[in-house]
Amino acid sequence: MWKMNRICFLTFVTLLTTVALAELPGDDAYTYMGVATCAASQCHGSAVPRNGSNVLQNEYVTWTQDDPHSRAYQTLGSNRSKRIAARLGLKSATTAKMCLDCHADNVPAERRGERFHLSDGVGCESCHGGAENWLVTHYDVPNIAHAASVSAGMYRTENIEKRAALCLSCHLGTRDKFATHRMMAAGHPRLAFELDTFTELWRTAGRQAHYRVDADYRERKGAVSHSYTWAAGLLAEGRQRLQLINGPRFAANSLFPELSFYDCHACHRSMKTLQWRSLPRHGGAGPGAPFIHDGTLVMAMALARVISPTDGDAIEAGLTALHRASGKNVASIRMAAQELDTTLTSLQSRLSPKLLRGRELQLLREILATGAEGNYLDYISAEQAFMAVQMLVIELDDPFLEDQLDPIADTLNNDERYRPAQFAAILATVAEPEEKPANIDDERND
Amino acid sequence: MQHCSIRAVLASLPAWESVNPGDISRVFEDGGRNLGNLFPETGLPNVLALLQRLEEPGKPDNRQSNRGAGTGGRISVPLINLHKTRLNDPLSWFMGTNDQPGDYRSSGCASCHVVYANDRDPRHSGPYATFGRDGESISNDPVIPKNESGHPLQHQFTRAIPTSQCMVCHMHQPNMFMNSYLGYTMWDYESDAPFMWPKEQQNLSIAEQREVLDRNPEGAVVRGKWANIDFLRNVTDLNPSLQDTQFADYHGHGWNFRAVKKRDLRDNLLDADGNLVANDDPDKFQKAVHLSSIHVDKGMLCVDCHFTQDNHGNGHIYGEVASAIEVECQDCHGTVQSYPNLRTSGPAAPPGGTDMRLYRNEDGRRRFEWRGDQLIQRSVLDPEIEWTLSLVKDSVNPAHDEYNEKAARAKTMRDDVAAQDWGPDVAPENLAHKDEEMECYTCHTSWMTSCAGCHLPIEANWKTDRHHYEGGATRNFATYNPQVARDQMFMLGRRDPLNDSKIAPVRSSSALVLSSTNANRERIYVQQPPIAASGFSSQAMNPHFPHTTRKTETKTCSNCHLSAAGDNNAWMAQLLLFGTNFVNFIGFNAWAGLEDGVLGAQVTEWDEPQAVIGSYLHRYAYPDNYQQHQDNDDVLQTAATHSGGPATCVQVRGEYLYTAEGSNGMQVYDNANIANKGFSQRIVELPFSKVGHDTDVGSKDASCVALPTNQPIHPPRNSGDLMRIDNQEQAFHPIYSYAFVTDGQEGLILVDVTTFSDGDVNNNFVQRALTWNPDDVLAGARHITIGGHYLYIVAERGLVIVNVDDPLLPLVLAVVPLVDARASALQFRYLFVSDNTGLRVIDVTNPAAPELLENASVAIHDAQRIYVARTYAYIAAGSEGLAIVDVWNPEAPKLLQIFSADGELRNTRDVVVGSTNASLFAYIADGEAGLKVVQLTAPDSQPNFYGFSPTPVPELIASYPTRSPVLSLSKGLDRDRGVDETGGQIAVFGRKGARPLSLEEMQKLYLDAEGNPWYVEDE
Repeated sequence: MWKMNRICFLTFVTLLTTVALAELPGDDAYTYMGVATCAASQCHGSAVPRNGSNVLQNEYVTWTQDDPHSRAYQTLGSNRSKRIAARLGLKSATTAKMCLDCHADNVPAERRGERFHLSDGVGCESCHGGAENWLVTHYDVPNIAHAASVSAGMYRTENIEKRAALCLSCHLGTRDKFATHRMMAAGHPRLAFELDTFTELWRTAGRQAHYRVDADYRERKGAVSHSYTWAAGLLAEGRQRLQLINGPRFAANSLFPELSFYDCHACHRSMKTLQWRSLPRHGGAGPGAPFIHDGTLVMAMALARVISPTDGDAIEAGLTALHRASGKNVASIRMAAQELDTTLTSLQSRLSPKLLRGRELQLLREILATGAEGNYLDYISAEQAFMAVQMLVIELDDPFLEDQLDPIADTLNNDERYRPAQFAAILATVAEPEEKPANIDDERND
Repeated sequence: MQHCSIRAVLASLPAWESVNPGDISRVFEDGGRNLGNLFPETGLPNVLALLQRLEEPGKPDNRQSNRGAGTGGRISVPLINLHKTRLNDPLSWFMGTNDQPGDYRSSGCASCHVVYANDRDPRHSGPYATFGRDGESISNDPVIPKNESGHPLQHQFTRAIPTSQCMVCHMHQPNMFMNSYLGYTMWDYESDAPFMWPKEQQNLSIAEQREVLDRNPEGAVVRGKWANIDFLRNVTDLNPSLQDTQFADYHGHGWNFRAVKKRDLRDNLLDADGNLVANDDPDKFQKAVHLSSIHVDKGMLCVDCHFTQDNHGNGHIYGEVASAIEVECQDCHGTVQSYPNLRTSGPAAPPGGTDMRLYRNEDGRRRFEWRGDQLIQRSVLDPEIEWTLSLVKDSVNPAHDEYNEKAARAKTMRDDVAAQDWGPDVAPENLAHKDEEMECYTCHTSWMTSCAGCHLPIEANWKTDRHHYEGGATRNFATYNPQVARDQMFMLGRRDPLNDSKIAPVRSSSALVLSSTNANRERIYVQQPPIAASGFSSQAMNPHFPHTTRKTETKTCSNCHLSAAGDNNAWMAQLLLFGTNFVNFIGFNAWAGLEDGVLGAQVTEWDEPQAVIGSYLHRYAYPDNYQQHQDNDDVLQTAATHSGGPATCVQVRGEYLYTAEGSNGMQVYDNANIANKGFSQRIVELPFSKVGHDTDVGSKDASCVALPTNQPIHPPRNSGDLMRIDNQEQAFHPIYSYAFVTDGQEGLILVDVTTFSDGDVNNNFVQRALTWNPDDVLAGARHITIGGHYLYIVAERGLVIVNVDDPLLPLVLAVVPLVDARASALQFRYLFVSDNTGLRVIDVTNPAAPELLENASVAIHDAQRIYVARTYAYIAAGSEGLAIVDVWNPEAPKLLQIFSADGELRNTRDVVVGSTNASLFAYIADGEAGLKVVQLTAPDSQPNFYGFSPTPVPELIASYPTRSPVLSLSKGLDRDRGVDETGGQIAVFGRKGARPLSLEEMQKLYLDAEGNPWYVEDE
């Protein structure tokens, strides 16, 4: 039995490497069959979750009813989208590639199946990959292993790194598709993302979860902790951000660099009151200097301080260098970004669920302490800090801590009126439970 | 589960001949020593009929069989239709019959999911219309014969199912009769008759009849051109030449369906803007609006509303189709307060409803989608068609482009009948028309079907296969014969509790009358309405969704409330289910009271269609018989009499004829064998010795007798927990046990007559339950009209109104002094009375405070009995003939004409009106001149013959001279009366717990809190 498994595993790994170079869904060569092909009531369109099935089978229902991804395309038809399109000089948001790339499953026309419709927005195959070769086999469980479906083109959303790459491709952007400052100026909202929070928000968006991490999920796909998901997501996002700075997106043929890499509120603030302040990590930038958006990197720094203090120092140095470079020129920024990316890459290569196990409280303390010192000066850092705190509190599963989340969230309900001092003060009040929190659910770790 | 109309078990359809009958009809046997019958009784295994050999002499066989209920002749005739005709067949686990266009389908899943060519109308068949209506294949498969009927278009499953596929089954009455959705109803054999009946009377051989009736269970077909399939499948080719109607291109069961067009109440054709379309306009049928559902007009097919959940069910067995439905109007259109959430909310919907946002069409696109502020629905059949839904909330929002003032007025009207103000500021709890209390389609109904009667004549010598259960063959068969299918009746009632007891349209649903011809071709009972298990009459009603929803042709204010113009009294009588005396069923025999007895005269053919002899239909369906009738100088040939009299009032109910005969008192004759050739005396007073049967109630001067209803009922059946709790039936009012007799000297006499409907002939003894005449108030009483628990008695002092809420403790409510008053007729708020001046009108809105309307009268020299049929009062006017008075507005009656038939009407004393097929007839008691039959409307004399109340164009068509003067006539069976004027239910309601409106609920529609009438204007 063990041998068998090993053989299977090897096959799996081999296959994985071939497909794994992969590419995101959409970059493959498969035909996309359309949401309707998943939606039958006997498949993923059950009115209620099915017992005795390895998946819930009501994923289509959850997606339709509660998952905003199902309305991504419809959003393009809204009055707001029409205004955005007009300002951008687009004929229509519902046909413009720059919009469809993230608001729909914008695979080329020749790879759209008969029942595929762009109007389904971000549908099943947007994340799970073109189903051409696995649609009619994947449900034959246990005869068809998950790996076989993967080898036939199913995307490994259960793999955190892959999941991060997938989500970030829209929620941060890639060199090919990217929500630019120009788009935001035309009316597109600011992007915010944190892998674990967004996974959970989305997974449990509706009355029913999109999937449930239970015994057979673990058996078929494995599972990791929230904190690992968070950490891996942070590093992935940080790296992708730095790499984008190194790519053409950051500085196109324009007087200004791509401003969406900067903290929005660095410029978008009232002129009535003087709000500009800086911190040591900003490298002594003078008044009025706009800061590069570093919320994710600040969290990566906190992570590193707990699991690898030297990396923490290195990230802080790299961050300071990056900010300092941003006062100089594009080449300096890129160089600093590349250096910081190297640091993150090194940390990423050592990151493992095991490394994080049992460190949740420590991480929480680190973030709270950093925050209490006033290090989350800008709203985006504060937002990242809160998502991390929330994730850790949930992971720690302590009601005493959970009760303290709402007041923190309240300080963040309006980014226009964010007051760093208030946020720092409230983080300082967070008290730890008297007893040690119960052991963390080991099962969550791999 | 019972409260959800979910049934625990489903029993197999029992054999028709072994089911206890709903009717109480008897079969008369001679008794004494019977010799072995050459023709064994139905279902009796013993051919020697040994048990029948000795019978108590001279008694009718009250068992109808030697072996008790559910054997022999004592069987359930309606069930024979279910077993033996195409009426409900074949069920979907059998192949379709594939006989005629509209019949082609497969079985099981494929009966819906594999499409056949059935109909060339794209409104019915969508994209399949181009493939014809003959069930031919378009497959490329070379082994499937082309040009051969009975093949699917392709052997391919689809969810794109056209309405024409649904209509293979849902075109017949017991299966929802969805023709209305497409704007069609049963053809009535009369419109465009010249095109549909052969020039030469068609007398098919029995074998030929059998062949046709196997395809088509309607008895009339054997005389019509449509017995020929080629004629039938080409009927729509006639449409350009037709004058009266237009036909549909589907012919399930071999039937013809006629179009329903927009018409006013007088039956003028109307275009979309409400302008008259002339009857001689060659494009009249294109100009007049075809009253299909707006959904059909938009291109929607059945499957565009009834999705998976409605069509596949949820695994439960439902007692009623309406209970198994999930989708409701507001699920897609929303309400005044909110936009639709696309979740089903009907009775079968799961908690929270089925989410219709999940639905996808075959091409994979979402069926519903919000696009900005618009809700889009995509066609199931054609992926490129999409509709923008009307949203109620927008239609009542003055700031919205879709604002519709008329809709806003109706939907936001405040429940303040004095102010009648409306608008967006009316709070939901103050709305007059609340969604929780009434169905959307109470108003959004352009018309509804009303099947006022269906004749099922069982015949013993038609050996036919039984299609259900054990199978096999028995020697009996019954055809299925719709009698009066009208499209302008609009009635209201309350739905069942499962449907929140909402107010909804109520239709008359296939009110049956049954006949039986035994093996000796003796008609052992004739046109008998059965009695429901609840004791209510079988002239059944049920609340339903007519599926004729339209945006413009909706019901308006004056369709449910008193019109300010005062011209909707008849309409209101119809609305509230009181009946309008218009679709009454006179039937095979007209019953009359003679100076010296009673008369039953045969006035129609026995064969189907049962045309009135001498009528328009008779001329076309029976050219030979019609010629014979003319050769007979229009004199009817068959009648039976019984001596007695003078019979100044007669009323038939069931197998008995009730009469008031002066010093003979009240008599009840047994007329069950009126058409039984085995009987020499067709009407009998004593079927056997008086010791065992006594049905007269002696009195000094019996002048009139009235029954609270002329529909057979049996109040004692309606009792016990089974009725009150399980069946959720209302109780009978106690008046329904009695006959009410007026006596010139004794006053009012009540006689309990329930014995005549208990099915036992051994206890037929009647006697007075009450004699009542306080202070001689009823001296000279001569006529009685019953309106709920109020009696309107015409006596010497005038009109005496008596409250019999407690029948044995009557109370005089009011006396309206009149000089020489003779008779009365009631219609909703008004009582019409004849006196020595002519016609008078009394407002009886409040019977305790009647008001003689001084300005409402029509002078008639010798006004006798009155009959009000919808908006016309027919008054027997003695030597002048028949006075027809326009009573559209009862407060302003106008003489329309005095009809004397060129002097042939010589001394008219009484008149009754009834409908046969599409025409209206008057039957006149013409004194010494005998019985007269007058056709009031016919397609050739009155092209507007379909309306609520076409103007009568009388024409004398038949007469029967009698040896003594004809004094009175029996009113025909009320086929549209479900409840009385004080809320007492008469007719059975389908859908458990459904009912007519209570008195209080009725009054809410037209009386304010002080009891005063209030009025509405439509604009």
